[in-house]
Order: sequence, then structure tokens, then C-alpha cells
Amino acid sequence: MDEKTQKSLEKTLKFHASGLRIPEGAAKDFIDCTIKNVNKALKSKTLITKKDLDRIVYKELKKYSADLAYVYINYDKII
Amino acid sequence: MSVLLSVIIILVAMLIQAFLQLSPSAFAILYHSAIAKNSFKKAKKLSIKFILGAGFFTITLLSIISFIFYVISNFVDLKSPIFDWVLAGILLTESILNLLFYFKKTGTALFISRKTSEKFLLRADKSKKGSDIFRFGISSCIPELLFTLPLYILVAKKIAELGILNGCFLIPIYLLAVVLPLFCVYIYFYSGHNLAEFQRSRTKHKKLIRSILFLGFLILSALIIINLEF
Repeated sequence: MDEKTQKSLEKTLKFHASGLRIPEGAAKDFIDCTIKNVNKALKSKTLITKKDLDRIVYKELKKYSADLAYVYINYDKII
Repeated sequence: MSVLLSVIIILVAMLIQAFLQLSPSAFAILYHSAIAKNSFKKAKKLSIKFILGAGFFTITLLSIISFIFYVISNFVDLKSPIFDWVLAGILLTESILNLLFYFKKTGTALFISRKTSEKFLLRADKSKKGSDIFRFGISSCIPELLFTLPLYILVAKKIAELGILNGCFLIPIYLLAVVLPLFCVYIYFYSGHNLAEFQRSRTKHKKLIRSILFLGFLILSALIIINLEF
């Protein structure tokens, strides 16, 4: 994942974690672990679409916080 | 009997209005954004402005349409069957449109275009001042006018038929149909639930909501036709 995408992802996840009232420290741990795992999963891929990235992030994030993962993947399907 | 039917028609219209999803979902997104960026106390204050905006739009539009019907009633007989048949036809079409198009296939995404829904998400994110949120509350009612405008026209016509004095009571009562669901969402979030739980329950009850809206419009069009007989 390039730096810009990673920063954008971190910002989005922090925003949702704050909205879900997940404690800041715990949210930071979830996000850092998720990004680490996502980067590991993306090592073998040369090209990836946004949907693929979202799916991978959701899969990794679900291990730490089901609510955060749910909001992340479904945010644009609420309205 | 005619008065009783008119009241029942207004109540069914209120039920349909209460189950429409755009304002509550926009409100939920706004509340989520407000909590993310502000303190919980400030988020509560800001979200009340949204409810006021939605309520203001409803009461204004309903009052204007009722007034227009009241003025027209001096020149035209409001109990003319043609208008009622047209309205019944529109509501029947709405019931079918609702069944087929109200919810999209994914999640609880609504019939509005993706661009509009992205604008709503952006607006919920960017709104900081109370006035922005008040305007957001107003604009959350506009895309749904496709479904709500026939309801407003029908209710306004009934209010004009029942008299302007009754209208002074009926319009605030109708307002409850818009404001009460938003208050329920407000209390839901206030009691500790979050957007994920809210959205999960909406997805779980998507078919029920769609059925209620479909039957509501269908029953409403039937009631208008029955009312013609009395």
C-alpha cells in the first residue's frame, strides 16, 4: 500500500472508531495491526482495485472489531 | 363516516411517512460523524438541529399546500372524484415503485443516485455549525418528495376539507410522523448503541419496512376510493 492510501485508510478508520466510541488506545492498536496485516496480504499483489482493498481491510479488521469492520464496509450503503 | 375515514387516511399517511428511511439514515450518519468529531454532549446538541430542520420542512410544506387547497376550495369543489381517482392511481403506482425501487439490492441503500448519497455523506462529515445541520435536516427531506409529496397533497386536501381550525391541530400531529422516528434514532444512539448496531437492525428489517411501505400505499389508495363512496 502506498503512503497516501495508508494515511487515508488510517484517517477513515480513526474517524469511524471515534464515532463508534471505541477507546482511542484500543482503536490505534486495531488500526495498526490491521494495516500491518493488509500490507502483508498486498505484498504478493501487483495491482489491486479499491473494492479488493476494502475486502482485505474488512477481513483483517473483523478480527479486532466487528463493529468497526461493519461500518467501514457498509458506510456508503447506509443511505 | 366521511370525517372518520379522513382521519384514518391521515393516520395511514403518517404511518407511511414514519417508515420512510432517508431522514433517519441521514440522521444516523450525521450523529456518527458528530460523535467522531465532537464531544458526546455537543453531538446531542447538534443532532437536535437536524430534527428541527426536518420538522420545519414538513410543517412549512404541509401548511403551504393546505393553504393552497383552502384557497382553491372557494372556487372548486374539493370533493370532486377526478382528483381523488388520480391521487389513488398515483399512490398505487407509488406502492409498486416502492416494492421495486425503494431499496437497492446492497444493504439499505436507497433509490437516490450514488452521487446524491455521496453528497449526503460528505455533508454529514463537513457540517460543523448548527445552521449547516439545520439545512441538512431540510435537504434530507427533499429527495424523498417523490414518495412524500402525494402524501402531503392528500393530507393537505383532507385538512382543507375538515376545516382550517382542525388543520391547526392536524398539521402538528402529522409532524409527529416525521419527528418521532428521528427522536427514536436519537434515543437509540443516546442509550449507548452505535451506527453498526443501527445499520444491522435496519438490514435485518429491510423486508418488513418494504412490506409496510408497500401495503401502506396500497391501503391508502383503497381508502381514498372507499371515501369516494361516502
